[in-house]
Amino acid sequence: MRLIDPLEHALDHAAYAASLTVDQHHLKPSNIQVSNTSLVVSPLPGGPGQWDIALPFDAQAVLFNLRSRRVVADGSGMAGVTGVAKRASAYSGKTTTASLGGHSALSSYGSYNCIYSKAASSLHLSHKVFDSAGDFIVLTDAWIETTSPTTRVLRTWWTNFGSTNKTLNCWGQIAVLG
Amino acid sequence: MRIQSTYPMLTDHGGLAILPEQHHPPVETVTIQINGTSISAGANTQTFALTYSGHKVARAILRGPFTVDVVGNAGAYVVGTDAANQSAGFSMMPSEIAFYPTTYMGGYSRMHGDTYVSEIVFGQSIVLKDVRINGTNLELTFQNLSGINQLLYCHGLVIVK
Repeated sequence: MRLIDPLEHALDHAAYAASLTVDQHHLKPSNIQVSNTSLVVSPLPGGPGQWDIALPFDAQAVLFNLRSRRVVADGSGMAGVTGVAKRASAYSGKTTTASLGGHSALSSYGSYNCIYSKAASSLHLSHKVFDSAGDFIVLTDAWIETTSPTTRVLRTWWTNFGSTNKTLNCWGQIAVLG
Repeated sequence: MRIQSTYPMLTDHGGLAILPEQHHPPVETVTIQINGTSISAGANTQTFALTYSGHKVARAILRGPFTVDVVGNAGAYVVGTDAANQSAGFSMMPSEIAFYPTTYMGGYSRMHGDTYVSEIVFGQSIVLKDVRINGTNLELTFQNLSGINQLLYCHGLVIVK
């Protein structure tokens, strides 16, 4: 015998009956504040540096806003990147399945704003603003990775275009959309 | 006797009674890869099938074929809704002044009467006109401002919820 719980939202999953899987479940939105000022990234041909940000296991898509410490032009705002990321194939980092865009700005030569998309084979997703000097480290990729049967992360890759080790400087928020 | 269900969705509304109109469907992602599709003059709607209905908001980050300085591309970041002509966002395009290579970024709102929601960044004479959720479809409407066929380029990711 099997008893069904009294459904609190009985209609919403009716089409899936008892076959609902974790992947089909919808998660409530949530926000995660993040920062990293300690990740050391080796210069090319080393790297990329990897920063995993823990997410709820049900997370399927996120909106991220990350800022550096690089001041933009004459204002007080910081250069950074806005983007969206989705799940990659489970249990392996298949960056080709992650697609996102963003914009960023650089102070020395005015302001650059542009879009990047892994769907169009962009090599990176930001300008070189995410180290303490704001000159060398770019966001290379970001995707949602399943790291175990019960854990999931937003995996971010960072590339150092300098000639010596650089330390990541990044603050922001990850909005788990569902 | 009561057997506890193992389904995680049973707890996600915290015990509240949920009406059908309050239900939120699972988030979905749509990867956009339009690489040189010929479109005729005027409005052209590209349709992408969704799995679920009931989505309310779409976040679209899209780029076109034109390079900004030495990195990235011109494009647009647009939020759409489940109604036509309600999208809003911002779009960036490179400066035409080669010796001072900044970019321009402008905001657009269809709700406030703007005709389009992007600069001419998705091909020669092609702008993004609207982002809309229509039932179980995501619709991206582009406008070819020229009088002849043009090639449409658009890559990115759209998240609907």
